[in-house]
Amino acid sequence: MTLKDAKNGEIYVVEDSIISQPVKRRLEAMGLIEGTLIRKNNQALDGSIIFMVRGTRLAIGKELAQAITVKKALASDLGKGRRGYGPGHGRRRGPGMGHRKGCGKGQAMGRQAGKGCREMGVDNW
Amino acid sequence: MVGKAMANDTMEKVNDRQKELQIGFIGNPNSGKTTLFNAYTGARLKVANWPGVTVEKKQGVFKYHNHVYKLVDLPGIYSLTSYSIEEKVSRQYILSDDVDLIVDVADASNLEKNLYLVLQLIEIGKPVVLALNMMDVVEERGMVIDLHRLHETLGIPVIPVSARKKTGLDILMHAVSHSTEPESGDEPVVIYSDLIEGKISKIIQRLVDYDPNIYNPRFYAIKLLEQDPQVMQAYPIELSDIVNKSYETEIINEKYDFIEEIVEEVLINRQEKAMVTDKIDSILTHKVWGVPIFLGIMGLIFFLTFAIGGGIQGMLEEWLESFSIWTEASLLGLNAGHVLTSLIVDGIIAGVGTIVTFLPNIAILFLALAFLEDSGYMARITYVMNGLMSKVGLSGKALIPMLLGFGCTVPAIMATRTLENQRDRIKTILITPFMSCAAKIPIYILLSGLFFGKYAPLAALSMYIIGLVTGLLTAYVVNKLEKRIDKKKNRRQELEVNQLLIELPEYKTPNAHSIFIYVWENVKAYLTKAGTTIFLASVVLWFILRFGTTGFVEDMSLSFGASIGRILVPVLAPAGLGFWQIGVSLIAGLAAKEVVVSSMGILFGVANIESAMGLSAMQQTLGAIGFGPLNAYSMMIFVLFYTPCVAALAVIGQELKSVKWTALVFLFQLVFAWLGSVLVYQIAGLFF
Repeated sequence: MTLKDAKNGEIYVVEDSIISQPVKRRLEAMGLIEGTLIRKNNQALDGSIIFMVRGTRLAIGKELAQAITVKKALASDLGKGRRGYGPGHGRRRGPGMGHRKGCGKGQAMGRQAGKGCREMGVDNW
Repeated sequence: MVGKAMANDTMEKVNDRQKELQIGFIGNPNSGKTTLFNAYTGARLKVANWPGVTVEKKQGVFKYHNHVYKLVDLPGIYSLTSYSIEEKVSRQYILSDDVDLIVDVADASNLEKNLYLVLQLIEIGKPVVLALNMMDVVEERGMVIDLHRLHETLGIPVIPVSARKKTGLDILMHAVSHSTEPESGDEPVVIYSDLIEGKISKIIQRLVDYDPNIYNPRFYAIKLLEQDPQVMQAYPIELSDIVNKSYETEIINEKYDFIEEIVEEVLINRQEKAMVTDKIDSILTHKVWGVPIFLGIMGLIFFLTFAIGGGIQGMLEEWLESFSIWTEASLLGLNAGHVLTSLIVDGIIAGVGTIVTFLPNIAILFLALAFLEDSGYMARITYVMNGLMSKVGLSGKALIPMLLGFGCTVPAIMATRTLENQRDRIKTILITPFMSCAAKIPIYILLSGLFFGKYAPLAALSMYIIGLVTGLLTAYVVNKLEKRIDKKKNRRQELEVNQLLIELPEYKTPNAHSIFIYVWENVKAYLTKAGTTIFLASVVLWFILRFGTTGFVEDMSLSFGASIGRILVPVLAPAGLGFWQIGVSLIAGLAAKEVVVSSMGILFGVANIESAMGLSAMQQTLGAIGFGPLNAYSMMIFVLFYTPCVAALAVIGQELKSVKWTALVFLFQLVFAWLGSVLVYQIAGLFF
């Protein structure tokens, strides 16, 4: 369904947004990407809506609301806590984000550094 | 604050030092960059609680331990991908060589969203210091941020501050002074997936081949992967075998994956205490009540401005009258010449003094606007009114400049920069002057007070409604025309670009200090205008109204001014404004709208203006020349619509970047005012 048809007060998972590039990029920069959890707060008579994403409220017009497709968040989505709205989210990766530490200082940037880091046990990308 | 007050000898030492460092303040909209900038530089730039208040780059100087830092306040951005005009300003500056160090001002109470820009800035490769602002809010909400861990994961200095409470400012500057080299060296902050990293390495190779001296090729490689048009232009290298599409979405996704991990690690006791905002929103942005509440609030604002402000204004008016009589007596007692006395009493006191008495009204209006802006309601208005606005082809966001236009047209026109769509911008620039600005208040009060008795506030209020409705209708007509032209030329309109997209800040109790600054800066501007433009205009007006071909004249109808005014009489006659006095007033009003009232003060003598006794006297004077309530209303309509003051015209020219268009706007408004007042006068004349 689209965000416009979603219910107020419910939590959803973003599937896709079919909008022109600049607007899509803007929404993505604000953290609205596939898999993000959002909560719809409010809908006006003209179809504009307010929703909560990553701790902030966004107001968007009807056409945008119709362009964003969502599905209802399942208990497992909330439990997994992948992305966005809701407490305690975020996937854990490896032992303690070690990829930054030990990415040899002074190593040439780019390939080696990247590889070096990845070998440090970052396996989840 | 440290080091602000410095003795002269240290100043000299400062001058001996090498070049000053440029520090760019950047961050998400509404994260408090300007508040922080003001705290350091002592500037009083406008701050408010909605995204996009700052639309221009502003510079200031701060001295810390014998170093001079040039601080640059920038419009807020969400990412380095430019979208609207203000964002281009910020991006251009941040990527230029001018900036030595970036201070990323982030809203700590909303770390997750703010970190996206942080990561992008670190990738640029310039030294970055993260100022975690609004730490007071974080504490209030019982949230804890593991600053040490945050510093470790980002590899840049992380300094907690509260710009509003002025805490942490010294520590931040200390960090700045020690961070002029990137701390993390060559280490990339975000490591992408193998697919992306593989492509990045290949692109870096080609970039280095293309330009062996390239600084931080990784940043440009990422931008090339995102197919950033500007970077692609700067580095036109063949990449079709690597970059077969834009990888921007993937890169954004992976950045957010990383952000989620960071937040998971550093944010302890994450609380959703934002519920208060949701509760207020359930009323103020209510499906049905949202619009009536907004209209009610606006009605209240104008009621306060005219009813309450009017009371105080009347008092000041009486003082001015006594002062004027006293001054005249003293000057004549001192044997000051007749002409000099006339200049001071009939010219300066009448012209400037009259304007100053309207200060209470102006102050109340700006106070009310400050509350709208600082509470967080301003951004909501765009949502509440989006439906109506889209019917006339504008985004709800256009309402922000329009509402600011009730204060002053100049900043309102500047605020149109937050509109992403160029057509939206031009339309909004065209109709914003129809939103009656504060400078017109004296005219409404004067004329409606003279002719409409107890209905005076209603008559004044009607100006705002007429202005608003006309503005919206104009937008509607222009929109229809645009669509027709598009159809003819077979252009497809990109509908979504017009669509509302705005972040709504949390509500907060308006901050006394920012409200004070807001009101004071506007009151000061008003007084400054009274002391400069209006003073000058009053002197000039006095001169042309008191001198004629025969020298100094008692009877102003023999003056040069009268001759000038008479030229306009035939043109203005159909509008019921065919009086040379009115002609003079309206011409003078082009300098600044208040001057219309000044000129009436000079024309009819200050003692006549609005004081209880003078009221009937002036009515008689005007009545004698045949100027009645209908003429007054027609004049109010003319003033409402006619060409904004010189300053507003200048800023319109600057924003439209076209002399031709500006001239058209000028003419459009002049003709519109004439047609409007003629219509009102002729039609109403049939009934009264």
